[in-house]
Amino acid sequence: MDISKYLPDFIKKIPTHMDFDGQKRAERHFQIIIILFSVVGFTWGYICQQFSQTMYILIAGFTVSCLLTLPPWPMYRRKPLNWQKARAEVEDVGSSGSTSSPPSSAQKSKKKK
Amino acid sequence: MNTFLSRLNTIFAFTLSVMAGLTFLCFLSTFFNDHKTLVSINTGKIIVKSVPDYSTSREKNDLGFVVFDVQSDILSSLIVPTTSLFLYLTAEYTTQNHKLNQIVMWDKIIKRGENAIIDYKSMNTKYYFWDYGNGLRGNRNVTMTLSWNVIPNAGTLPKVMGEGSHRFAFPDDYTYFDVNHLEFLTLNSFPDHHDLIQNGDRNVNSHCLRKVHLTTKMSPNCYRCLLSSDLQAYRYNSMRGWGGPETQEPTPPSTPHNLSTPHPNLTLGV
Repeated sequence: MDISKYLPDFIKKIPTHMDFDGQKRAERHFQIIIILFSVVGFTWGYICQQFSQTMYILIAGFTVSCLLTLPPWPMYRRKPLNWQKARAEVEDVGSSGSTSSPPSSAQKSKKKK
Repeated sequence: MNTFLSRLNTIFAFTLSVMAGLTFLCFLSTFFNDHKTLVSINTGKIIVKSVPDYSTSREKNDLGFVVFDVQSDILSSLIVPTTSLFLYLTAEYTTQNHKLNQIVMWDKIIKRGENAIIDYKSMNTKYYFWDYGNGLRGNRNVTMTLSWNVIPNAGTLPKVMGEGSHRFAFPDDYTYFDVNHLEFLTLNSFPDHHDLIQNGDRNVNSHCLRKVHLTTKMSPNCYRCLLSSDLQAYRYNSMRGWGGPETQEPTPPSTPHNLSTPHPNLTLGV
């Protein structure tokens, strides 16, 4: 059922993740946007005495925040975590010929630490 | 926040919370409003009849007919923060059997943006003024008030009674069948033609007259039939928005007749 393996390579290569800092900023962004729109909407709705206007403006804010934070835009990927470099050891294991079991190599690297 | 769906979920939940908060603010913005305003009510012709209400039983109950005026100007300032107003005119009175009787005589829904200035003259009641029993005749103390429900976007549903009421009394005598109210029943045509009889510019419902005709043929008591036909004509007219026969130009006070001796003008047909 996993369709990901039928996708062509260039689609699979599109990054779909946010880094941790990006997730935090995305949450902050939509909160600010929705609160801002709700404040403006309530003021405008109070001025023209139409609660429906408030609701429309709030829904507009919802849409804007969806557009800004739902897709994993590249701006949420600017601070990738600096993982410890385990690449050299993995390459060592790979060169020794036991590439079939990556978990065991991970265990080995842990043991070596 | 790490997948598309979890972000969508979070944003949606947050938007709903903000929406609830806004609705609460909307409720607060109208909760402390004082919806009171002045109302002036007046009554015109008032009669009371003793007729059987066939929808409940065959016993005769008192049925009042009231022509009234209602006027209130400040409602237009009330309607702004609400979606609609539901106005209802009530009459309150006491009888021997029941301490508190309240009857809705008329109501109206005013939606937002509609003309909210109330100024009605010579209105008929929209609903029947039935009493459970015979408490209307000679009742000296019937109080009419106009109240309204304010229907807001969010929050409570306040019931407000307008400032100003009107007190009237019912006459001491029942009004029986009054020839002036049913002028269209010309006596020559009554037994023969039951289709359409015209008088002046007012058309008469042929169905109504046919009923009168049939019942009159069957019933030996002509007077009773005409009494109910009077009511039917009233129902018909008020249904069509013509106003009942009672709204015509003031008629000389009708004299109550004894049921056993039919009205002299009406005995011809039977």
